[in-house]
Amino acid sequence: MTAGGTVLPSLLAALDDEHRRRLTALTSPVRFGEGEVIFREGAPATRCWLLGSGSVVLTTHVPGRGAVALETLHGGDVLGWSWLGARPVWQFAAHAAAATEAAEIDITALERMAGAEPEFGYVVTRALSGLLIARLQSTRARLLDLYANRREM
Amino acid sequence: MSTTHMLPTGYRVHSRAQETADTVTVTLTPTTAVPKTPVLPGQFMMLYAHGVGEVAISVSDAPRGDLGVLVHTVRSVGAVSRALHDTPVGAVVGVRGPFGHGWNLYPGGRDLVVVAGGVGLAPLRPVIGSVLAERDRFRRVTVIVGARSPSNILFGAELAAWQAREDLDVELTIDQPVSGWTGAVGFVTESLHRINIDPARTTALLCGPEPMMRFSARVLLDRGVPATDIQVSLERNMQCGVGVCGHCQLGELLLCRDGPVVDFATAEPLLRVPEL
Repeated sequence: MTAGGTVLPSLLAALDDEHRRRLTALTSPVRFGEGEVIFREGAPATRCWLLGSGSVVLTTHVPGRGAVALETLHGGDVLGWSWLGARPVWQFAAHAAAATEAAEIDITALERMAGAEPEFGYVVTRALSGLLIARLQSTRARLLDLYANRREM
Repeated sequence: MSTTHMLPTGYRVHSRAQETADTVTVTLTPTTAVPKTPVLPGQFMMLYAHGVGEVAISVSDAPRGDLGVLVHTVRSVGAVSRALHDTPVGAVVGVRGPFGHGWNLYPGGRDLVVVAGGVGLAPLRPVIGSVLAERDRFRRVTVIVGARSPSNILFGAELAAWQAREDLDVELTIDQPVSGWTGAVGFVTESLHRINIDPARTTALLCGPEPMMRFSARVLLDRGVPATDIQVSLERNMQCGVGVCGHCQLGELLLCRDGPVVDFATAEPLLRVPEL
């Protein structure tokens, strides 16, 4: 079996009980079947998901190589960051690599609540930033190509 | 210090298994009687390609737990390792050892998190084998394996068998996206961020390129695992194997003697010094 199973999404785990309850109230459960397309590159980015179980692959089309997997997300990860951008369109495509259960965040409601209640917005932003930094650091580590052949000592 | 530490003993290549294009696993059997010296997961031997030189290679399996049969996984990265990699079945190589400290799995009753990157899976393979042989001694066991690409994955059949087990959580992830690959893509730290960890009851064993171990250890520290419960396998220029020549010095440590497995509380301040 693979590591993971159903775990508390990391964004929720980073919040205290009250903020977790309030964010959870903005979510609704969704399920993606194996192979189901979740979003397509270039389409409007209007949603965000907290993955509970399963796995999702982010891909992009490379001429001559087809759809190339950039990263695999699992239970606990946040899927969908493009809505935070100045021009909210999906930068990549995503499909479920396995049956996946997730909590879909109502982004419009989240932004409205964060605007009206800066403290809530700040806490959620801090938590999202922490996850985003972890993803960025892991991606940078991958760029190092650490497992490439190196000289004998 | 026994003669097996100072004088190479002849070992015949009994079998070879090509793992990847540049990596082979060899089984070695002694050409003369050898003492019943235990060989522990995480320890290394000095393998001598006649006329070329010696190189430190960790044991990648311990079928008998002593010098009677040795298993090493050798990646061809230079003159000596290339010569060892190319040594055919029936030929004889020289062996000294075992050297250093292996992985510390005591006390039992704890969760284990094993993180291996690239050829770093080889020194951890025997520890996973010994854990599975005494599975009841541990709580949750998670193995995270990172590889450059699907063609660089070591011990593929064994990994598949581990993944099929209900009592072992295994994540295999590759760095470089490849068309047709249906497994996970990402760095090992992403798995570490995600897995369930009970920090007070976790022992972590890390082996791979040094930056990979540093990055992984930092995630574990962020998640509350004490540095004393994180073990890393370090590598420097191992030469004598007995703490005399000083080539493998890392600060106050001589890694052939005080390592290669060191806890991160000891290693971290030393790894922060670029000059070391």
